[in-house]
Amino acid sequence: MTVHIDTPLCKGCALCARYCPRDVLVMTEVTNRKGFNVVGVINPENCINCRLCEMYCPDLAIAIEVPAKK
Amino acid sequence: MSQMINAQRRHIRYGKLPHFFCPGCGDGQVLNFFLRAIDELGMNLEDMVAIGGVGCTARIPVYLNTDTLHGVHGRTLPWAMGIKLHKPEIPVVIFAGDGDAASIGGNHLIHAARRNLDVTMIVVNNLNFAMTGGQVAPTTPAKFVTMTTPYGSGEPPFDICEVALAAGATHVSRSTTSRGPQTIKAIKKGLQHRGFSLVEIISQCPTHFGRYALGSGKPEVNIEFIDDNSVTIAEAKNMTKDELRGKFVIGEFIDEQKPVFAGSSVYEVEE
Ligand SMILES: Cc1ncc(C[n+]2csc(CCOP(=O)(O)OP(=O)(O)O)c2C)c(N)n1
Ligand code: SF4
Ligand code: SF4
Repeated sequence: MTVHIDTPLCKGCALCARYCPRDVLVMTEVTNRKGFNVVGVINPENCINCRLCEMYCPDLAIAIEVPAKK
Repeated sequence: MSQMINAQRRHIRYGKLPHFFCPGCGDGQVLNFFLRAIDELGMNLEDMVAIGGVGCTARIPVYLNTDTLHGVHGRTLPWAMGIKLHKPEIPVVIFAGDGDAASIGGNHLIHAARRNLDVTMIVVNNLNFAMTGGQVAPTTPAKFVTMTTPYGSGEPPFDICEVALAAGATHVSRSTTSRGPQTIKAIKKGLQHRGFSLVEIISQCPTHFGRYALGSGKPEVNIEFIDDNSVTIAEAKNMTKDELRGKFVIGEFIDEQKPVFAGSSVYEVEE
């Protein structure tokens, strides 16, 4: 699974990290152009494709990509 | 690795993101839930009219690829009524804050419900007047501090769903932003219902309600407050009036068919 974060849209609310059951997302010290601390992906291999982060992000900043079946 | 974009973004008016909602605002989540409901139902936004009055919530339609009306506080329902009398086949969805819907717009709400106007009204209840800086609203729970009630609100709050039920609404439900799947389902049912549907969503305004009433602008603290005070209809049945004070009762209160008010053949229901 690949977790895509559109960092220019992220406002650093941390809701995605709160809902992720596998600790894939953490807040970082990195700021975007608007000055918000953005979320980062630390261990994407733990992602189980529950898509809770994608559903709860108020800013439509997350997309989960499922690898194509071989 | 190329950047993949959130699928719901294709419904957003070109160049409108990032939206104006604060970090962690429930209005952004409701926008996300609504777009998911639209996709799951296979509806086409371009065939719809979305209406917002004035307020943070009222800005949701501004971001949608629908036909949009925005900008008259409290008068979303008169606009909707005009559209429905002229072109009853157009699906109309309203996004209103609790102030827009139940304070300045309260009189329109009861009569639209009484007439069974065929619209879907999504009320995002963040328990205060957010856009203007966090003043007390008719929905603010008693004793809570807001910008205009520094010693706590001394008034009993208003239950929007109960008002709609008493006025005769044919579909009424309440959900919260922290219950994503349930809220998406509630929006879908509201959109599918023929007649007046009121979908209330209890929502967080970390910037104003959070900081004044809860002492924290952190989104997660605001969500926990809503979660801690939510009870289902089934749970509420076994609770006393005192125990229910300050609680948000979650679920579907009514879903029935009655003749609708639409078009020139007012009060004719087609099967
Ligand atoms: C006729 C009129 N009266 C008052 C206002 C000022 N005003 C703007 S937004 C608002 C209240 C917003 O509260 P709500 O509808 O709950 O939406 P929220 O911002 O909380 O989402 C008020 C009173 C206005 N714009 N127009
Ligand atoms: S939920 Fe969205 S806006 Fe909030 S931190 Fe996560 S990616 Fe950023
Ligand atoms: S003021 Fe409150 S309701 Fe308005 S955008 Fe900010 S958090 Fe949302």
